[in-house]
Amino acid sequence: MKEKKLNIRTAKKLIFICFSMFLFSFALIPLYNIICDVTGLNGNTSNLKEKVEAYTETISTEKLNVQFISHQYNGEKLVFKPSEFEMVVSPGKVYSTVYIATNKTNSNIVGQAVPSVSPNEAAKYLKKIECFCFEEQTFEPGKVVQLPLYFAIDEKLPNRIKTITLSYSFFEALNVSKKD
Amino acid sequence: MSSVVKDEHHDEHPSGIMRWITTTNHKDIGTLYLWFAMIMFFIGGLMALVIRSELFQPGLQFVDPQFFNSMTTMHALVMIFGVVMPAFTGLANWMIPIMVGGPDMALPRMNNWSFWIMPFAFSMLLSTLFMDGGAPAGGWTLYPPLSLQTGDAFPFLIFAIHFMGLSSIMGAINIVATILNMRAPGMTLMKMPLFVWTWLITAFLLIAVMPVLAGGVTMLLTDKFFGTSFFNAAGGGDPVMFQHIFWFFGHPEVYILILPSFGVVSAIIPTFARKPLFGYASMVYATASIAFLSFIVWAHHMFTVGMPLAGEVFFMFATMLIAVPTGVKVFNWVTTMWKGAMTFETPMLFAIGFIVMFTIGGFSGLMLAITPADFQYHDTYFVVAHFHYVLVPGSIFAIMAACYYWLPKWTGNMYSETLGKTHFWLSTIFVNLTFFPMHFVGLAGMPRRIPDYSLQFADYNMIASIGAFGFGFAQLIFLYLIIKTIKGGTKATDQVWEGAEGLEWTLSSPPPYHSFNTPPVIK
Repeated sequence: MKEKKLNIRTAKKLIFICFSMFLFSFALIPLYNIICDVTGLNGNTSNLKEKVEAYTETISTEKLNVQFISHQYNGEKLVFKPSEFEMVVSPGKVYSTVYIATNKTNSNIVGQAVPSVSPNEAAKYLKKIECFCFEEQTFEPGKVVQLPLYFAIDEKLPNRIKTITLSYSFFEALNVSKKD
Repeated sequence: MSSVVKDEHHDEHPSGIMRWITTTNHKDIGTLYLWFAMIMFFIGGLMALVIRSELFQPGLQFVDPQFFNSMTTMHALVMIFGVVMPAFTGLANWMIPIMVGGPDMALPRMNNWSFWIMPFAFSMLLSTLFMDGGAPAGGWTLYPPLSLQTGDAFPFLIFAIHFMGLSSIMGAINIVATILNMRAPGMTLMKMPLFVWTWLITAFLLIAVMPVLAGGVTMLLTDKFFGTSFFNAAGGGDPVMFQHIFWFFGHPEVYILILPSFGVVSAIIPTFARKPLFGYASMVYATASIAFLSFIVWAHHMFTVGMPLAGEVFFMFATMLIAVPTGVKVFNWVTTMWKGAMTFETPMLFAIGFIVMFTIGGFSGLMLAITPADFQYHDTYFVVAHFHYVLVPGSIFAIMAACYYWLPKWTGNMYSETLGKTHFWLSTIFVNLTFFPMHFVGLAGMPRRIPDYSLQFADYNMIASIGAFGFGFAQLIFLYLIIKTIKGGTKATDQVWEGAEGLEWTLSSPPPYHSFNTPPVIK
């Protein structure tokens, strides 16, 4: 009888480990995002506005290329393209460009563009001052919309990086997020 | 009072099918697990033969590509969760209580549950073959977004995985409780046979990582049906996140599939070399180190997803570090055989085959661990060759070695040594014929999970297919031999093997239905 109690106690402890590991698997999601945000791994760029003043003082004489690309995952419904594919920029200065979106359907398209930076290392040096990617956009049928982007490259960017690619993937909002 | 009544009827149990459904006896449940694994082995093997028939020649011959992809996915799921894991759990059920001198498993009723969940889980999984949209075809790794495109089969797949996980977790809890609480007086931890030690560590791995897999597949399920965005970039999720979760489970899982084999081989080699195992304590520590390292190497499965250099270097070196404790083990087995009075009965042949061919798989693993080289090898047949070398002549050979080693004990009859040796040599020749050429086509760039290939790969693929059919048919000898041995044969002695040591050999062959009701005396 004593043995039986001991067995059940051991089993309870082990079941507790199981539950903690199950919860841990869900805790991995925020952990992963925190690690990616802090380190800039995975090309995650901050989705927060940066202060303009910080980047108008020291302008480096270095030149580097910034390339713009776009992806859309809803077929031909929304044409989503950068107005210029490449810019030569100096770190520290604020630049602006636009992406152009055309809704080819007869109904509204709601969605958001998700940015990604390549190489990963450059992610934390790309500062977005104003970006259409900060919020959800609604595209009315047939309209051509210009989406503005203001950005600067931090002058602390390591010298070996000569080209930065900024990619935007446009995703239609999921049905669930439309409710609220 | 009731317990007294129960004790009087100790040896009575229902007969016929009810005996097997209601049993809480560790020997019965061990037998059930082993037969289940055997049936699944042939089902998974048939799937492999569909794959190899299609790949016999370039071009599309027999099946359409979607079904081909289903076959690779289902073959993996069946072989991993339906063959290797239940077979080892079966061996654990049969042998661990006897080896530690306990009367039965710690939680016999839960033991019954953990087995009987399995047939349901696999009926569910195999039923997807007949569903609209076909069986899962996105690979056993279930990477989203591809796996989310699975048709009606998807929820069945996820719940089948939940049930398999539940079964293995319950089995693992039972094994840990048995090892910690049911040992005979005097059976200290460091006196336990290595099979028991490796299973104790394996059970902890199972308890730690199966819930993580359950969590990961639950997220897939809610992503598909409940609008969450764990892995959906449109909603702020990240598909690469799934790969991290999956391989956080997946890497310890591969050690779950191999550690008990180390235990089996560590039992067999000393018996037939007639020498005690060299370096018992180092074996225990090596097993524990492998288990620990398995938690910090997962990203070597995903070198090509785009990781920072520091990450790739860390995972590369951590992975290579695993070769050290594994090397300790191989060294100990070889040293045990050194100057031993060796004989080569079938279990010994399989054990030596294991050491040689598992090491080949280990070396190709080291090649894959080299990050810059992995960009060339990733998702090619080289990877297929690597993991089949560690799983087929690795885990499967160890399971077969264990079956030959303990079959006379289980049944009380000796098996036919001629048939056993024929089985071994045919298996060894054909397994190498199947998987060795895969190294070459992989290095030359043939991708895995593809039903058609370029003409330059044709010859090696044909050789591999011939090998696969040979290996498949050779297993019928194994099935025939086991049935024949159960039905009769020359009676086995209690000790069975001249050099065998351990508590299981002090019992009669076959052992009584209830053994060690009074604990044995441990010297």
